[in-house]
Amino acid sequence: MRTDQQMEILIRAANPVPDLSVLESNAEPVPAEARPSHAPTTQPLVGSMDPPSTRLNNPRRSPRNLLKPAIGLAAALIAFVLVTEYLGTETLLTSELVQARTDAVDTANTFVLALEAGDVSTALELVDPEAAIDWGPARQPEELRQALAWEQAFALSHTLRDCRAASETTAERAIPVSCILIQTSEVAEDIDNVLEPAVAHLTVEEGHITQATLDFTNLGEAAWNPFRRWVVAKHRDDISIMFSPGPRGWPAVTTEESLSLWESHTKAFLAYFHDVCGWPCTDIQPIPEEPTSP
Amino acid sequence: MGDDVVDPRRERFRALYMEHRTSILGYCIRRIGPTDAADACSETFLIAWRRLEDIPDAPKTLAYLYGIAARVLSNQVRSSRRRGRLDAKLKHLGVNSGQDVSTIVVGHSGHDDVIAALHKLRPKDREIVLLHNWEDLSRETIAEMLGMTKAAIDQRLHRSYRRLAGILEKERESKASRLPGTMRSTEG
Repeated sequence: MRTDQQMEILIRAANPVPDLSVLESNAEPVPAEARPSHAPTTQPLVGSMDPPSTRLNNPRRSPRNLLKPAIGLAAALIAFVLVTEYLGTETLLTSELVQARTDAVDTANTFVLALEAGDVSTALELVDPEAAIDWGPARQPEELRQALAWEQAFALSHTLRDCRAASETTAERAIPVSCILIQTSEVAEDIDNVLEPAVAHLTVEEGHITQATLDFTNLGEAAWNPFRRWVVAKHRDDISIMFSPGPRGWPAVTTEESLSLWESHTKAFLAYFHDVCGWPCTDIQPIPEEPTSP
Repeated sequence: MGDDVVDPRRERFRALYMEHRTSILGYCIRRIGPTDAADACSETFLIAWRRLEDIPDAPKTLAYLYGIAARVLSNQVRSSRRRGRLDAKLKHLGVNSGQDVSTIVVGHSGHDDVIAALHKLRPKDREIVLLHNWEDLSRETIAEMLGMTKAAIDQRLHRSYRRLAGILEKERESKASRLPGTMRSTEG
């Protein structure tokens, strides 16, 4: 079998437009919608490209755009007055708050990165034992391990993109932090569904996380429901072991037996769509059952 | 009045367009063929114009524009699929509605086997392979562009190459078995 390097040579050789200079010598006319209204339609593209004429590039002529700076100026004045007032009495508190917010973001970053690395112990060190958790199947801090095991079994992973403290200024000790996580699901990818980033909502209080919620965004629609339909079609007997509305509203069961089925069926699902059905596979028939998704 | 005043926004767009138009057009041609590529390229730059303030400076500019182009193409392919389903229904009713969406091609005749194998990759894997080999983007840039780690890109490229090699190997064996008098590898 060919090596990776040999494959790269083959793929590069199959490039339909290997030489971009060919395109330069074959410039097409400027597309109508991207041409300024005063330009002749037959003008060549190279050297003539102007942005589309919109209200945005003629701010002086638009009454709406005259209003915007006025509103902005008024808002800036109000903000200036408020900040001056605030600084006069609470300067020390403000600097403390800035530091607290920075620390809260650091804590949130460390927590999410630890979970990403599968290091539950480090993550748990940052979590208050009484914390309110709603993180996949986990409802208590010690269940985060099961949440990660389920994600692994379902070929789902996250990559931290960014954590930010809530923008409003507050003197509260509890600081809300939101983290954007890029989700990668082999199941969603195999059926060409686009997974949106997940959002983790955390509350950090004096260096400890007192609340953590993971919002999977469209995981249910993009990966969960198609997988569930496939399990219903191919392994109906396992449904009751793997899925349950459960006492806490999470529809995946995370017992040892269930996780083992999640893992083997996810692999079988991927193999099915890779090797049996082929791309594009349209073999998932909608099953009219109650939608149960995260 | 004002016509000879340099608008920095407009100038930035002009520079961006002049520098990257060919790359974006090439990207589109490689994925949907020359017929629709010009429209996709224009659409990409229209979006770039609207979102000019979000576009990062070099060296990240081109990768960002590829990201916009990918979304534009993805929308085009989706509408093609919808059209395809409609065509299928119409065909069933005995109505011929014109072009078959399966004619959306990537490539040319000289390397049909490689192109066909690329089509069997998962869309995201295929995009990574093409960004690296056709658009010549580094693995680090692709990782940043797709919000993934470089290790994940390495893994996906390796996995895709193994899969492509397997597909090509299978195809070669299948062709060999169809040729009369060809020596086949022994099977025990």
